[in-house]
Amino acid sequence: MLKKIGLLIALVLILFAFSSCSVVFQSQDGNLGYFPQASGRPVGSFSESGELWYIISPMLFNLNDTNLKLDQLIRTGLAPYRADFAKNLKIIEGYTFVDFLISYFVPIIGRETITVEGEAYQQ
Amino acid sequence: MIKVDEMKKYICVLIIISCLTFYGFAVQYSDNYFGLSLEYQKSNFIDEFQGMSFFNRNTISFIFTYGPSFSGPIRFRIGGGIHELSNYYLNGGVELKVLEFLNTVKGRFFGVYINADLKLGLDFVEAAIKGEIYIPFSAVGGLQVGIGLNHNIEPLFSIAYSGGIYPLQTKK
Repeated sequence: MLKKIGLLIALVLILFAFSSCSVVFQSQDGNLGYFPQASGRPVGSFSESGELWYIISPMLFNLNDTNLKLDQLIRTGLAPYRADFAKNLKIIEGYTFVDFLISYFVPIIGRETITVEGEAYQQ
Repeated sequence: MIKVDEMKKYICVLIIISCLTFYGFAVQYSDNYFGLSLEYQKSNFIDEFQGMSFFNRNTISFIFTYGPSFSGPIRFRIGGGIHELSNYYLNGGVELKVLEFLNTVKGRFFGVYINADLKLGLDFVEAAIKGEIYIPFSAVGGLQVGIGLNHNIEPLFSIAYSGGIYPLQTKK
C-alpha cells in the first residue's frame, strides 16, 4: 500500500514537472491564422507582453487565460500603427525575474510572461 | 542508399531547427543565471539521524545564486543562515554546474552540481563541499538533495527547496 502511494506521489510530481512548462496558445476571435496571400505595406514592428497567472500549472488552473487571448496582445501591438494585420509572429514564453520571485516564494501560485513579437502591416 | 539520403535530410533539418531554437533563446533570454535556495544541512548525519536528533548540528540557509555568462559553469552563492537555531552566519561559496538540462522556459529541468561553501558566523565556522542533484516539481522550482563532507571530514547531508532560471527579457 505504502509503495503504491509512493508511486502515485512520484507520478503526480513528474506530471507537475512536465505540465508546468506546457502551455497551449490560441486566439479568442479566430483571426490568428496562416494567410500567405495577405499583402500590404510594413509600417513597423511591435512587442507586447502579458502576464499569465496560474495555480500549480497553466494547463490545470489558468487564472487569466493570457495564452488563450493572443489576439488581444496582437491588437494592442497593431493599434499605434493603425495596422490591419501582422506577419512574422513570434510567441515567447518565460519567467521574468519578478515572475521567478513570485513563483519561487509562492510555489502553488505561479506567474509567467508571454510575449508576442511581429511586424505590423497596412493594406 | 535512399534510406541514408533520407537520414541525412532528417539530420540536416534537426540541426537547422536546433540552431534556430538556440538563436531564439540567445535573443530573448538573459545569459545570466539567477537562483534561490532554502537549504537544510546536517553534519555527521549517519550517527545523529539514528538518534533522531534532527536539530543538532544543523544549519538552515537562504542562498542567492548568481551565474554571470562570463563565468561559464561556475556560479556564485551568497546568503546567510542560522546554526542550531541560535547562531547566525554568512554563507559564501561557488557552484560548479556538472550537468544541467533546461526546460522550454529556461528553468532547470534536471541538474548535477558540486557546491563549495564557507559558513562564517561569530560562534560558528564551517567549510563544506557537496555533490547535489536537482529534481524539479515546477517550471522554476524543485528539490536539491546533496551529500558531502565538511572541514572536519564529517559526512553531511542537505536538502533544499531550490529554484533557478535564465530570466525572460521583455522590452517593456
